Amino acid sequence: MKVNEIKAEHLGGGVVLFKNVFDVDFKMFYDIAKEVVFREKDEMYKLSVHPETGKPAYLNKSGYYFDLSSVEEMPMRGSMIHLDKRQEVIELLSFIEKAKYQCLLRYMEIFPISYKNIWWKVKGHIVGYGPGVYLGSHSDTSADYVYGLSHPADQLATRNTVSCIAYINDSVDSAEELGESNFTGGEHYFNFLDITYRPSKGDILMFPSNFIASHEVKPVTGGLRFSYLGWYAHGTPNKEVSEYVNDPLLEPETAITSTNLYLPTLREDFQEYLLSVGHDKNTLPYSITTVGN
Amino acid sequence: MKISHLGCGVVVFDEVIDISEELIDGYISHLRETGATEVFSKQLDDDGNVTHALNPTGYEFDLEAVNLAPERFVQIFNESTPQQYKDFLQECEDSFYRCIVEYCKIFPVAIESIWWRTRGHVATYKNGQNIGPHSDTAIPHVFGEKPINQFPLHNTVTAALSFNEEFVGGEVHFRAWDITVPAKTGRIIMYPSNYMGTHEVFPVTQGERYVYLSWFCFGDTGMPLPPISEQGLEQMWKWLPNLKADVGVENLFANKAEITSISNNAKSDSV
Repeated sequence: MKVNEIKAEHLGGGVVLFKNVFDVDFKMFYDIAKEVVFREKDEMYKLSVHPETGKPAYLNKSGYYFDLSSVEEMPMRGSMIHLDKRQEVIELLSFIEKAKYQCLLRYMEIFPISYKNIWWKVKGHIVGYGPGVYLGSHSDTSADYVYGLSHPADQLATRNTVSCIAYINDSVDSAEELGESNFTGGEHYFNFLDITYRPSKGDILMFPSNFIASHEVKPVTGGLRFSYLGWYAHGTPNKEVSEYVNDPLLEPETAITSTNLYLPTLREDFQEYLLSVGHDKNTLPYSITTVGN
Repeated sequence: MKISHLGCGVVVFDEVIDISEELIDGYISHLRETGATEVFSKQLDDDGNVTHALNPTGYEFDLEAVNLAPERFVQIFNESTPQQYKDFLQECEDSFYRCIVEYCKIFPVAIESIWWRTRGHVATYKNGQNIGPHSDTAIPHVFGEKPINQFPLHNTVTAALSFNEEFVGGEVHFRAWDITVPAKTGRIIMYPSNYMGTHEVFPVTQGERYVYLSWFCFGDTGMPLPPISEQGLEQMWKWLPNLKADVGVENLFANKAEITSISNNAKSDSV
């Protein structure tokens, strides 16, 4: 596993592509991703029969019935991946998180003020799309709020500053090229910015979580599309609504399994990075990390 | 109303509101006589030396920067304020609402992140006063300490209304996109409050700049917002129950054709 040279390409609107920035055993990553998303789907939904219509339906853990299509058309999630106890999984994810962190330092160099809005991270989780699955336009700060109807119990998404996706497999041109682990379609499209990104393994994409970088995922037409999606976020967690962010210095034993972690050394790491790439203490990125700015 | 999208969510609205110079001069004098501005408190190190200053919402300032920071008036009226000024402030609030409706037509997904609004406050700049590059969501945060104030993290869109134009300097500059917006009386600028809308205000070298600032926000803050029926000027925060209907977007995802693409005028080399 290695981090390649970090080359940032700003596609516009705060969307930065780190092309071919990490190298891992992608076959293993694909297999793990596939395993966790299907396992979580199986745990969440059982194939059943709707008691009223008599048609096949999914029954979820909370006892609700869903049309087959409503479940099949949603992306699958592998949210529990950090609870996986296999050593190779722990090492892989730890490596990916480190690669992301290096990209983040470069990202903050390009957009220095984003530093002020990054206190902690939500580690990545696996997102899987099968054939026919897509995701409509949305921003990564949306919390499903409707005036008068819902004040979402979980508002953690409103804290997201920068979204970060690491890609596990490739979008290819045709069914002939699918092979064992590629897919067709599944482009990531930023509606307002009119930017299309076509997934390629080893890439990391970073973009603002707010409405400017609203995006959709075009339908996957063949194969399975996997990515590892996480966020960098800010704000003191509201424990009244079960928001927890762990401090890896105070609670090192939870650092592996918890998904929300403070970044206690971000200031020092950013300063050290900036000096190493030729900034001095008076340039904007460095100066905002000090008092009075 | 004239709407110009300058790129990356920075939108300028002209001809939204008529503003008379006489009324502004009178109102600012009234604020100066009766309103309270922010007071900075000096912070000491262990040896008793003054290191920096804090404003009431917990932002740190270099000592030299205190005099160069704009003056802010959060209490924009009181019991002695003449009705004509209150009517004017209400008109400013109404103008912001009309603009956010248009803004959301350009960026429909933003509606999901706009639940409520703040009441505006007044900022004044003179004698070289300016503000360096910052975003409107940044909170004074030091790792391991709980900030005094976390309201800014709820900001989605910032609205700024120029009360006047008779001064030198004071342009609003978005450095990532190389966009500079000069003041024009009655002009409203809206931009993303996050780091995409990183902006600075150049020093005002002659005359004085008056601006009215407000935010459109989301998320529960832990502070109770008033009931929906309470929409008056006395409320510091207000729900926006009709925004979606006023924008005319029932289904955000069915509206793709109307989405305006925006310029991607910044590459990494230039930022």
